[in-house]
Amino acid sequence: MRVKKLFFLFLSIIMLITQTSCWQGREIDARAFVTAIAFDLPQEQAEGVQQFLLSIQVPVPLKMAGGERGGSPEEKPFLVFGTTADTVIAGILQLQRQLDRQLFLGHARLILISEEVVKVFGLDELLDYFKRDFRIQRMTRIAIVEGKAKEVLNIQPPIGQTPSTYILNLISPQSGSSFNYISDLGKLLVTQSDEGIEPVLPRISKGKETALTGGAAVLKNGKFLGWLSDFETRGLNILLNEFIESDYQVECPLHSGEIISVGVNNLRTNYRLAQEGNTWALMIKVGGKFETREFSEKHGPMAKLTEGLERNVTEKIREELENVIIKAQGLGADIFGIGRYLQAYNPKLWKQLNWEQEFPYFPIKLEVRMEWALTVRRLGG
Amino acid sequence: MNKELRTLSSRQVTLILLGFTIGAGVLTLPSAAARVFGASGWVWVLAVGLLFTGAAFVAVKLAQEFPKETIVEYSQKLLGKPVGILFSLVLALFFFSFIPIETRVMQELVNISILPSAPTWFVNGLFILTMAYGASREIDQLALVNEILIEIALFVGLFVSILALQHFKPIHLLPFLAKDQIQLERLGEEIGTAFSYAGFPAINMILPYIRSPQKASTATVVGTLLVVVVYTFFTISVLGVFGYYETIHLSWPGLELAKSVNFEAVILERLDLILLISWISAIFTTGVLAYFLAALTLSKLFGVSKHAVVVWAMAPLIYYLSASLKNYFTWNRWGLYISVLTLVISFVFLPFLYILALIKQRRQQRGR
Amino acid sequence: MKNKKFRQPSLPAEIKKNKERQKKEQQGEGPFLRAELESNVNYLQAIIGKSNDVIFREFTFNLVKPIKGVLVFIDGLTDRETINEYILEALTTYQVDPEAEWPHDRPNLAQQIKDYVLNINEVSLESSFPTIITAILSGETAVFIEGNDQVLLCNTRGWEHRGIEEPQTEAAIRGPKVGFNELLRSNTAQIRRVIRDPGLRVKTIKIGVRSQTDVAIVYLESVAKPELVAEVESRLQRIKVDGILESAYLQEFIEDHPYSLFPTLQTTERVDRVVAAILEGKVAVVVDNTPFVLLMPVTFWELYYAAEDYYHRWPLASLLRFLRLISFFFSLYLPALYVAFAVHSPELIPFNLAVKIAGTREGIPFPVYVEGLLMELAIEILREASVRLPGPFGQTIGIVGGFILGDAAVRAGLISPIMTIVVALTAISSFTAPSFAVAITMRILRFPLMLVAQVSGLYGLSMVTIILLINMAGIRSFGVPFLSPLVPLKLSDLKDFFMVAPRWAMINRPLAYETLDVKREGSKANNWWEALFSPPTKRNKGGEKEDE
Repeated sequence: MRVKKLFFLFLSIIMLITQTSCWQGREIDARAFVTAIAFDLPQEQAEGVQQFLLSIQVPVPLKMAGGERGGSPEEKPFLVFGTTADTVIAGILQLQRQLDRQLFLGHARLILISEEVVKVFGLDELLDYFKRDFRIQRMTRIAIVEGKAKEVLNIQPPIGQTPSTYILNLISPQSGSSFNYISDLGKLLVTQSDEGIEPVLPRISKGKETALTGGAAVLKNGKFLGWLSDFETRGLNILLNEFIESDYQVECPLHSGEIISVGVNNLRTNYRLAQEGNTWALMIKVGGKFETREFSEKHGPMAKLTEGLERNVTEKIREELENVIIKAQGLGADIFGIGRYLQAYNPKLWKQLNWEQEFPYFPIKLEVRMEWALTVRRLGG
Repeated sequence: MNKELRTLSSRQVTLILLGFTIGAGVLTLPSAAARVFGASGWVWVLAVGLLFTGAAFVAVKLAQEFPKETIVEYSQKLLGKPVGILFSLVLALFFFSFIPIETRVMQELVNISILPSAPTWFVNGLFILTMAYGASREIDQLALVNEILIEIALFVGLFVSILALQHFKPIHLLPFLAKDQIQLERLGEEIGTAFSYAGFPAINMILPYIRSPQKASTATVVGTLLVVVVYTFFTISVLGVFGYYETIHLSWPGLELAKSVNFEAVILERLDLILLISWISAIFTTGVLAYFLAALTLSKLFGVSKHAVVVWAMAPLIYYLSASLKNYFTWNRWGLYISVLTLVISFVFLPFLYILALIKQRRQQRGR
Repeated sequence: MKNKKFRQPSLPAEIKKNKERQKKEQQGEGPFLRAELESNVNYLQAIIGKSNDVIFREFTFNLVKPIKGVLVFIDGLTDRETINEYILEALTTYQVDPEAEWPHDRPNLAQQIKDYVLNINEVSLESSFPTIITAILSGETAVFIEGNDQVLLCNTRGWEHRGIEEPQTEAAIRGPKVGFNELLRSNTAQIRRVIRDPGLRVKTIKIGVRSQTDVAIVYLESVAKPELVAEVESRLQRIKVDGILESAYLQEFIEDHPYSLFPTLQTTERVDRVVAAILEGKVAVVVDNTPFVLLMPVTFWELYYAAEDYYHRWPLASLLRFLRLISFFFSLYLPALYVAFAVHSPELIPFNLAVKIAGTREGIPFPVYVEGLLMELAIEILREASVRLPGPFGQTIGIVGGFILGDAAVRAGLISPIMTIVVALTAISSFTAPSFAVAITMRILRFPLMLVAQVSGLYGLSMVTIILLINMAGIRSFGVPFLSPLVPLKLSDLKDFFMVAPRWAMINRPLAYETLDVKREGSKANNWWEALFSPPTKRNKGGEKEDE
């Protein structure tokens, strides 16, 4: 028995040794890491099937590795390739034919889609491949580009990195800007499949030499509905409890014309269903604290400011929130998840309503209350 | 050195049950539960689990009536020789049927992630060889291996679940027990959930090897309850993070859960691959214990003194079977068969045997 | 033997004794002495007299009438002073005391000479030639006396030997700097110096047909498991071999798993480690002519404990031990993991690191695992070479060779710098293993793991790890599972596993060894975590003030 076992083991070892480096294992320098993928509409359309332009960004490892093996600093450390195709997999295969290294999507963390493409194709169609490939991470960030996505990929970032890292940081939570809507593939999939909420994706536009974030795109059933402006996105963040902190500029209650900047953090939003007679309405309560950051001129005594300032800030925020609610109802997309809330807490009602039609007219009442957290660093006007 | 038979501590018994039960079924359990029971799928998991805990209790009580024998022997005593042998064959088949499906699921996992185009003969072959190597050892050695591996798997699984809680939204778990989401007619397809719980008949085979058989009942119940807790917690995590609508579309909710919490920690980035590797060890424990139990049952039935012989003899058959399960739907059917067998054994056979044992015991007492 | 006319009329007791001896001789227990000096000496001359260092010293001494005697000893193995002063002088200057109780003119006086005349401290009477010859060859002096059929064997051993030195292979910053040397007696004496318990047993047996090496089994009778001691003894008794040169020979004969890569016995040169082991209930086997003592049983983790873990304060010691366990993991897996990640699963490496690795590997002619194999091979060769070279040469060659080779290879573009780092880190990690035997095992296992990683990535690695685990789980060192206390889990042993518990919390001996006396010290706590929270100073404060 033992001899048999040893023989078999020996045989397996021989077979193994002769099979080294097969089965899709490649040396690490025989792979091309794809860091970002972009979708555009091509310049000329082929007849028949609708096609899109698929671009990928690949860093050049030799230039990115430091030390004495790096190349000259003037050349760009990345490359962008593009091809037109009608499905993602066809595009990838075509791109592969241009490269001698195997494309590796395990590190692809950014997908940029230009708004034209989303209008023509559906988001589902574009992203189907990424949903199914194991190598793609759920934390891949997706953004809708106002303009051409490929151009955004070619931006040389101000502080030397590859463009994909640069843009990725812009739309990540570490960017610190509340005008951004933070989302990723996983979140998109969750909100897309849910009937009670519509997905939103962050927006990127190309400035002169840098990329700009801010604002969001509203999607419904995979199709692009409309843009949300920066302020509307901020309002959305507040309503979804994803707000971190931001600054508002309000008029000084005591001296008109003067502006006080307040910093708001610590906002909490609560939803509640209330019945008024036969109709149901959603009460949204927003409460939080703010602190004063900057005064443009000398002002009156602090003690007298409190009530007026609180009132002004509350008004400002309420205005913003109402704007975004009106916009959403105007577009007919429930981006706040009210439907989901309804489904969770009052399933009977949810079943009765046809939410797609009901949402634009559903009464939503807003209640905002802001408190001044009096953490003053300098007393006096 | 010591050739004594009774070597397992009750802690090891609990871990054997955990290891045998927690296997390939867990990764897909939440989505199956969601499809059947909606956003409150975890209630379904919990309820089924408690049912199985009851069955486990009956099984261990039955085993404790005959502390020196395995079920092969006392089933013949209770049912008469031919029926007893038939029953033991069914039990052996039950244990045996786990192995190809565990192997196949593991091959699927490996092929979609770590080794995309590795040939079947390599992936399955290596796995079956390793399982055979483990199964041909004695139970105490196997218990030690099982301890380490299942603890690793549980630790990583728990780690991922807790990390994933940062995305947990309680609203995803509501509505609670909504009628429109409960589709019990899909139970037929999703009965695979039952086979995730099928682990406790192992106790009937290993009781003679336990150091203190009277503690076996606590150990078994604790083990099965732990399984229920783990499964329920995992299902709640998945449902809470993804919500009902997304969960029903996922084929590997466990991996997707890990994918949503990837973070850069020093060297390693992809938590789903780490979870997958630790899950391979959980699948391994299930496979190797099933293999061992099947070989033990058959060797006791046919009077072979060393079960290692049966182990190596079965290896080619297992390879063939695992290679013949072509895709997700095929092995789902196979899982269905095992689940039916599980239900029959757990809720019909074993309680029946237990009642027979009680009757026999009472007759003996009256006879005195 | 042949001349019957020399035999004198014998007493009935002697007739009986002779008959017994004849029977024993027929059974092969070796020829026995006759009562004639000349025949005995002739026999001895025939067997060992041909070497020039065997000295036959004839003498005559007076007991009423002059009696002839012959001293036989081996020059170089005996201490001349002892022979001169305590044997020859005692015999030749013995004054017959007229009031003594024993008859001075009886023929068979060996016993009385031993009792009243000789003043050497260890004498025994022997009559079987094989025993006598072995004794002479071990350094004892045989005193043949005319008319006696017993010989006096006096312990006159004394020879050149190494003194007590610091052990070179196991240096420590803190702790006694004594190691064993090649003398069995001095080694057992060192153990006795530390453990002054009357229950400390030192049982000596001779192993090896031609070497007759003394081997001592040392254990604490009230602590060590009796079955363990019996098993050790029986295994040692079964050894039939020409000669025992080193304790390694014994190790190979008595270990549980002769084919396994893992050692199941511990060897050490340090006295404090042996003493600590004996106090924990283990058995120590001390072998003559070698300073390396065998300790059994041992668990795998104990091969990674260093002696000075117990001499540093426990937070530092815990950290160091943890570091050692991590370096064990590295020394086994680091190159294999690197190969697996780079070739099959680069998505596990953070993106920046992956690009860096790819960048530094541009233009390297070898695949990753060949790089690794070449570098590892080079390091192993360097290591072996530096052991062979004497003194400072060895260290210099190691440093220079490694540095130059590595640097030149990187500069020439043959090896990537990251691989150099990986291999160097692995090599350094394997040096932290306190036990050389285990370090070798890791070095051996590293190569097939790299190969497996290249072929089948993380999947193959995990399967091979499982196989190794199954193997290790099946190893028992004298009945103790090799992987205790991790599995089977003994919670109270864990205190010494990944951390070092403070001295006052180590109240129980390791449960895995099933010792007779479990409690180490008189503490009221039942287990170590209770003891952990009642340190001695707290106990002192709670009670009455002792002095001050």
